[in-house]
Amino acid sequence: MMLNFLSIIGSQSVRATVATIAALVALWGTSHAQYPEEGGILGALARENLARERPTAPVDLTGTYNFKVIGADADGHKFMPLPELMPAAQAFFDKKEAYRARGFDYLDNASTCWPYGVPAIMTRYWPVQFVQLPTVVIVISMVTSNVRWIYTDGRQHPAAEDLILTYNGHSIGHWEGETLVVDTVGFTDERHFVSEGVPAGTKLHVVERMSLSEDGDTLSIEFAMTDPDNWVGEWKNTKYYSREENLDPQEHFCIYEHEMKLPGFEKNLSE
Amino acid sequence: MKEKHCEVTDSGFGRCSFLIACLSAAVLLNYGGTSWAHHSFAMYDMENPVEVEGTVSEFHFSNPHSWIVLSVEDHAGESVDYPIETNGSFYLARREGWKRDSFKPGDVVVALVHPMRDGMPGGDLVKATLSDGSELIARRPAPPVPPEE
Repeated sequence: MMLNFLSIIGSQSVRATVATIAALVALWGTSHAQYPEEGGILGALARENLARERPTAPVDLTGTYNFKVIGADADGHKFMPLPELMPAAQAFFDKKEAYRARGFDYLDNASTCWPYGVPAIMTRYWPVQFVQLPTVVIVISMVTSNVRWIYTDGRQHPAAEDLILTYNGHSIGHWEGETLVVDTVGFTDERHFVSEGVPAGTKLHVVERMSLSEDGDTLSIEFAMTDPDNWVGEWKNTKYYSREENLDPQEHFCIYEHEMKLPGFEKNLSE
Repeated sequence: MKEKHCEVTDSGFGRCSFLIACLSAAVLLNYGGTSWAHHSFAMYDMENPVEVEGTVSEFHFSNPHSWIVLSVEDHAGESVDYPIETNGSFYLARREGWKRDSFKPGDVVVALVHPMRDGMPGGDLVKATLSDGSELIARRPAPPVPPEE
């Protein structure tokens, strides 16, 4: 009997199967072993987290808002005036301006479906929606059906070496009076722009102070941004949003093959 | 330089072959503005709209853009595709009453567009007039700029 068994596992195909099963069992054990590390923090929507006792937020930002263009039309979406740019950032900015003056664009992310990222997703023509829960404020920006999560459950940013670099970064928020102060780090620098022509680097740090007007109709966000690789000092700007009671966002996906059909597609250059 | 082929229509706009952008009265109306833009509009001549007449071959109604492809006869009598981009369905439906079948293949339309700066076929739509005279608006004259708050 034993001899039969040994001769069976001796066959090549069965050996491979046994090895695969052994590997899967090992992997299963490993992945379970990782859960406690990952889950040292309860998920924002975990029932236990939502049910925890904590002070009630002083303001409910839940609502749908439209970005208000203040100042010159196209400039209203930017964070003007610009800070003093570092030489490489200034060179990039100048190059983009020069291309535009000639009827081209340079690395225009929107028309090639690259993500806008924070802070740009907060200043588009399309509405933003805030859904405020005790543990998290979920911000849905209609442009490219984008979502960001602002954790208000007391967690901190991951340690610097554990940050996964993303376009929207890692956001945590806390209340100072009636203002939600949102701190965001962990940004990627891959084709990520703060504003048209101004690159975002991995040291980008964005602090947003979000508050509602007394009547609740206007949301204001003061952006204070630092990125020593790209500009000097703190870049501050306040944007305003009007509450919209008769509006829901719609699906908004950037599809590269669709963008290619637009007449200006080939004018967006990458070099 | 391409041969000019423009005429003034009853509406007062210059009507051109797609090859040439000609000045028209529309420049005075300031249908500019890039605030709704999903992307850069540097490639379009936002100051000098022109009219283009053609037959619809394609209409796509979606966000962030909708687009129409017209089959246009150039001044050599050849039929060419003239792609026109316009705003997303989100705004066109809510504000201007567009529907997903507002344009059907075979419809003859006159489109007022901001043409490509380089004279290639294509533009950004201001408005389209259908053969029954009805109009579909894509852009309104820019509102006064609010002061800084």
